[in-house]
Amino acid sequence: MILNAYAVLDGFTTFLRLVVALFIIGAALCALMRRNIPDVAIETEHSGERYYLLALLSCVLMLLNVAAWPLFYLMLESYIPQWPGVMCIYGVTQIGAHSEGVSRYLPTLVRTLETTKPLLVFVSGLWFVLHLANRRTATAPLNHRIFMVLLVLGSIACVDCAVEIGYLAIPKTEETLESGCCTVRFDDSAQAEEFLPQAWRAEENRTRIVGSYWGLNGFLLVALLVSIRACRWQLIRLDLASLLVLALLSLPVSLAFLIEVAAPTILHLPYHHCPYDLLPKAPESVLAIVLYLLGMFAVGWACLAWWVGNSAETRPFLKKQVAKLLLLGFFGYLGSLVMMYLELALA
Amino acid sequence: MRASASNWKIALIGLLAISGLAIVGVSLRRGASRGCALDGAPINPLLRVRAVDRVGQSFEFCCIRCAEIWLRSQHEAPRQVFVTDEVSGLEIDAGKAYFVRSQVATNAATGNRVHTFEREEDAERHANAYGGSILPMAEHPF
Repeated sequence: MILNAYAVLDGFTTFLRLVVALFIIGAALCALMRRNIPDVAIETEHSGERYYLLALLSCVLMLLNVAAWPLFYLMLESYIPQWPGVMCIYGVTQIGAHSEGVSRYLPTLVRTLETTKPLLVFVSGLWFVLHLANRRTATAPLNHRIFMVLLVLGSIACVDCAVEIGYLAIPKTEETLESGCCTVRFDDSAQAEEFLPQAWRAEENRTRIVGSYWGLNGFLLVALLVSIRACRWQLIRLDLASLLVLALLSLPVSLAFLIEVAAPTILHLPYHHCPYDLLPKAPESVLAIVLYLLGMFAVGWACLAWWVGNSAETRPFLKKQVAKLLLLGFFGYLGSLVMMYLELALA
Repeated sequence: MRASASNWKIALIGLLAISGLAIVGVSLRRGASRGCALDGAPINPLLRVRAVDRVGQSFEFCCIRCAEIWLRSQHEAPRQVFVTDEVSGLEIDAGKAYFVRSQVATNAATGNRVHTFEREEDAERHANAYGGSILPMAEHPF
């Protein structure tokens, strides 16, 4: 166990998240079970108070989830000086690989956390969007769906916290970097297959990746604008599924662009493809990634708000709410593209 | 309509802030010193490898492993590769150097364990002291 300020802060927020998540799971389960009992299903003053307490706690969990994501990476970055040969966060994520003790689980735990953190932020946002829609209605028709989302949110948060506590507790100081840092894993064509298919890494495909990145994301911006217009004026049928597919399609392309084009150019290292190096060496460029994720999440929230939050009471204002989310997504993507363009043009 | 206009104003301010941040960030990095041509790591003068490509441009690397990875990504073989004698610190032609693979890593980040020497006796001394062996010509990295 490595104790420094970031680890202590991360441990504290993890513990806090776990407590809140467990409470939310319990409260959501109780609420779901009470709804199935006909005599208790009638809204009482107490059930209203319970709902507000649950909403407040969910808000706290959402904020903690959002804070826990960058905090986790800051903690990993603070671990870098612990081992000779670790140059960036990627090296820290590989500590314990090929070892025989309990430390062999460390890379798997980090990979799990790298998946659950964005998932938690997304599900928290989904809860918030549904909660906002539900709040504007008279009979709260989305309660059941919101409790289900909270159940999922609480469960993922519990898994995330358990994994994070495990990661913090497992001894790491005795371990060495057996598999090599990012130079070996990202730059050596013989070993980089796990990040990108070999065909994508070929030099001649670089222009294709650049074209796909700008083309796809540019098209996504136009599609978002058209969808926002459609929501506002209710002129054409809203085709959110295509928008979501487009957003999901742009993700691997943008990831390939980040590894193959953006990171080497921004870092002034044309042969080095490590995106983790951006955090310590070009921290402002991380904002482009954050804005991109915000854009993608906003599109996801808009789609799910439309599909999950649709009811007779929410229908009159749901399109406007979806339009606001799509606008957030538009600004997220636009900000990301502007930042990326400037970073690459000025580098 | 008013809300929409204010949204665009906020977005415009946000975009300007983003642009400013990008410009400041890039200009701050401009003066930063360059390290290894592959990964930017600082170069220990005793372990430096230098490759000269077909157009005469020099690329310096922090270890043999970095130079090998870089060479694999090149379409053409370099005109010349220089390594550093770990005893004297002098640059020597890679073709005339003795390479020893031992237990000692020169760079933990890449896991490079190949050392370079100008004289055979220095290479043998290192190999004996650190459980290594002199690499035959066929296994030379360059």
